Amino acid sequence: MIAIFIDLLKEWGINLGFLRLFSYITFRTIMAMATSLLITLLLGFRFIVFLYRYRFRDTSNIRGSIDTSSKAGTPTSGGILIVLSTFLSILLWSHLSNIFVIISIIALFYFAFIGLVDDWQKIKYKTSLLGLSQKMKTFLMLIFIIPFAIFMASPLSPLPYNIRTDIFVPFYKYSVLDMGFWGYLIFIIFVFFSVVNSINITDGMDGLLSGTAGMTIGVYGVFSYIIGNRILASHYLFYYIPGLGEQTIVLGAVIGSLLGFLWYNSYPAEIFMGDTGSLSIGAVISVTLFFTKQEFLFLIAGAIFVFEILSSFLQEKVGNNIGRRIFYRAPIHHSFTHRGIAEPKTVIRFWILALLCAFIALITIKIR
Amino acid sequence: MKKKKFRLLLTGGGSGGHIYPALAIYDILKRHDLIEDVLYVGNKDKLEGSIVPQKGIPFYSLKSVPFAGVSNKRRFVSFFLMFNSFIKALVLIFRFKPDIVIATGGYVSAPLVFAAFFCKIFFNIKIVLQEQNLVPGIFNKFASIFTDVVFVSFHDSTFFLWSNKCVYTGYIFRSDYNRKVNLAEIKNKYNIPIEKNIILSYGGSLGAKSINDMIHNVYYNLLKEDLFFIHISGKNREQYKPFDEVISNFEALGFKFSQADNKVYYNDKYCGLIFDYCNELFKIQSIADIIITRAGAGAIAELAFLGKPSILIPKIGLSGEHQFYNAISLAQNNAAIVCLEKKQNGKIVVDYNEIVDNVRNILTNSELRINLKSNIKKFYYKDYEKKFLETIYFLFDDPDKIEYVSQVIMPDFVKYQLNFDSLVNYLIEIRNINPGNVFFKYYTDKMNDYLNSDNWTLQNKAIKLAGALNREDILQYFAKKYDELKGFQRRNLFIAYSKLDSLKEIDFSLIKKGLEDSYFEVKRECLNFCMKHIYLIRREDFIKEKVLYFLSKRESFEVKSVAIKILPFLVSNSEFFKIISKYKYSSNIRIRESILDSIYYAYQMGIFADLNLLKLAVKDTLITTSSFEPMFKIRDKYKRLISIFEDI
Repeated sequence: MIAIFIDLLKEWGINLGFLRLFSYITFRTIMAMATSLLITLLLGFRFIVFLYRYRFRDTSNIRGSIDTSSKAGTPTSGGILIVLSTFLSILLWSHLSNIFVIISIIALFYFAFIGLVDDWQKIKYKTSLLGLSQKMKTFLMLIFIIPFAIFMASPLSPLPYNIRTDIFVPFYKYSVLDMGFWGYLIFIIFVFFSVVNSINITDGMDGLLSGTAGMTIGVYGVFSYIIGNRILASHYLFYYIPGLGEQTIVLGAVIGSLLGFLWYNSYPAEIFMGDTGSLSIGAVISVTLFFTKQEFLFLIAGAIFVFEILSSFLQEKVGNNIGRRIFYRAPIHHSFTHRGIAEPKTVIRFWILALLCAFIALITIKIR
Repeated sequence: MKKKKFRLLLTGGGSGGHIYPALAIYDILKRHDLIEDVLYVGNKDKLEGSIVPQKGIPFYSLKSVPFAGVSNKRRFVSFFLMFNSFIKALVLIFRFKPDIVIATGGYVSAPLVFAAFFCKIFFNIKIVLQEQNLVPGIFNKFASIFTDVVFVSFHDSTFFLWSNKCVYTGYIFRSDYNRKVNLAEIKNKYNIPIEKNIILSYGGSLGAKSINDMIHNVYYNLLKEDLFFIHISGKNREQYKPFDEVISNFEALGFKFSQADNKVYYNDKYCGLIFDYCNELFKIQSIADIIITRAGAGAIAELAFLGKPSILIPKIGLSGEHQFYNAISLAQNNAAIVCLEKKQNGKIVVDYNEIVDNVRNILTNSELRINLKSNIKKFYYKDYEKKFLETIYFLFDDPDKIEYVSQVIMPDFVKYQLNFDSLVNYLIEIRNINPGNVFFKYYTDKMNDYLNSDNWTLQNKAIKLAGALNREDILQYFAKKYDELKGFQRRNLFIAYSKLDSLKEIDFSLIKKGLEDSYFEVKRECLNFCMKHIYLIRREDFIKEKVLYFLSKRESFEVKSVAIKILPFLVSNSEFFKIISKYKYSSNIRIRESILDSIYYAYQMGIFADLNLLKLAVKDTLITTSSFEPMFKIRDKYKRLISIFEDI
């Protein structure tokens, strides 16, 4: 919005020197981060009260069953706050005509909607077992994912023509494989789906997802800034993708609102993000993977999520078929509490691991 | 309240359970002169096609087909038929222009409710749903979203309905239920001996096959008690002729039946009546002392009104098992005795011995009889008519005044069904207090079903249930084929063994197999089992060997921590301290915890001679603040206050 306003000023012949500041992506990213952080911090508590009064509470809202050592009954669906503050901040600081920004906003809202339906079902039936069925959830997700995949793999794609269906891996300059339209389409559907789900299941402890996802998003923010900048891209031997710089602002806004949310979500949580939050964050991360053409970087930058979904997959699909447990508990973060490590400690250890992964991911910018 | 006349559209059908409430509603509205015009929508091939026109209500036939519980191919066809009915219903509503649509469930009401909801754009139509059962069918659940008010007969129904606009009215009766009956007059009419106890059995409006199939055995076995019985079998139809079958069954046992006056004789003694259909069911119900019937909502409401001791036989295989849940909610309140149907060789049967025993029990135990009477009375809500009319008035005048059911609580039986492990714990809890509980009977049948299945996950459930139901024979059957079992099954076998109340003999070969298992959870549970029966097995050398082996090798911490707990009972004190010293500084907190646990238990049992050494061992253990159980103060204080207020 501010960018449009300055353009208008220019047209009218008003050209103030300091307004140039607003054309720098770095400045706008930091401002976007600050804006969404501020919004979540200011609205946070009121929003908690709002959710509580409208009975958006985690799994149990029966008065008698309040347990002094469990967190059931805490307001949930806090993801609404994340999505709204991110949206406002994007609205204010980015060029809304940019295709990457538009797709990110659509993904954010659509996945938040799916999550909200799921949360609402759980609240309605007062148990976490009766949410949306896995089939229904998959179907609702595919409504977004398939058109997106077609869009990204077809000539409509905003990416340069020669790298559209190529695959890049970390630590290597050139593309390793051209998958063709169908190959890339299926690749997108598979990766998008698993990334969203991996982020969804990581949301199980206070502050776990807010922290780890923040770091992964940070890594992708750096990448999209570099790849979207002609000089930096050629310096670090990336394929330049015009307009990708704006995605940095989106990611910055998400980080800001996640930090603001963590303010309230850190142990012991006053609010949970619910599926509303986790799915929409997952959607933003997954669209960014394909915009930056760094799909395989997620194996490093999001190693925690990969490990979470692998453990969960092995335990559920393989373990249930052969009839034994493979991990003590799945997803893997529950395994740590099962070993006797306290929840806040587990969360902070995961943050440290995520930070480590983020550093390794950032090294791949230079070592190529 | 200002009076207004409605154009009323009634719908509901399929079985008597849906039709009679609709007729009852019609009666109430008619008595208060509220009806301007009425139309009943039903399927003319079904029961409503014959009952409704008899009452003089205009009838409109609408084809409708079952949707749930049929194959996918049928469902596809159903969908188109449904759509066709929907269009017809739309046309009907446009022509009839009702003020209010009242649906009582059944497939026929589905298209009408949707059409009425659609027509809300054009006219001001109020849609009302009446739910008789505790657990509504899938249609009523879904349709409740589109309605303005849902009348429920049980408070707990609100949990299952998707609408928040539920009003509790209790069951709505037919008007003849409010009449006083002269008991002696009816007994005279059928020449029933006045001093005899009367036992009445009947199925639903269509008759009940499983009751018809065994009822002759019940009455034959009860001949000694000198009872008078009345059985209503249901009318003969093309597919199934219940009356003829029942008569031939009775005659095979030596009863004599006279076609003219429906009387039954045994050894020339007048002992009972058999009807195919009875218009005076209410009168016969009021003279009965014990009633054997189905657990439909209507039947339960009638029993509640009359306050009769009853034996309920819920029909299985219905949509949502609603009769079973109706019966359970009564049995949990000790308001009725429930006998369950079982599947045997593809036929559905009821054990008649169980019913005979229960009848004898009710006749001899006067305390039980009084309890049953008073408890079932609580299910009768007297002011149903007033509440119903009031709500209808408010619906048109002032919807804010309607008294909706506000508190929605998950019923007990749902809570236990959601999670299998909590169900198992619940069964263990009740098995000593109330072994005749319905749950107990129901899950015994379930377990037998699971046992016969080939699916290993179901057999796994059977193992869990066997432990909860205290069935050592079934566990022994599984122990025999231990090598074929999967990991979870082996684990649950040991868990189930430790849940048994008493053990006849300990199978050492099983323990040996368990300790040599490759799966860590089996070893853990096997050790837990040994721990429970420690004094019987502590002399066995192979267990000691194995435990020492676990503690010396690389092993899962779950196994190690149980091994440490069992250790002081197996080895000498000095050896114990030697091994413990290795684990005192373990990085795993659970192992360190288990050291403290093991010392505590062993000390309680008086295993240790030298307390000073013990003190040293405890003092030396590495204590860090790794693990903690949170305690949220504000929740504690809130709970304290709430518990105080709930007592008031």
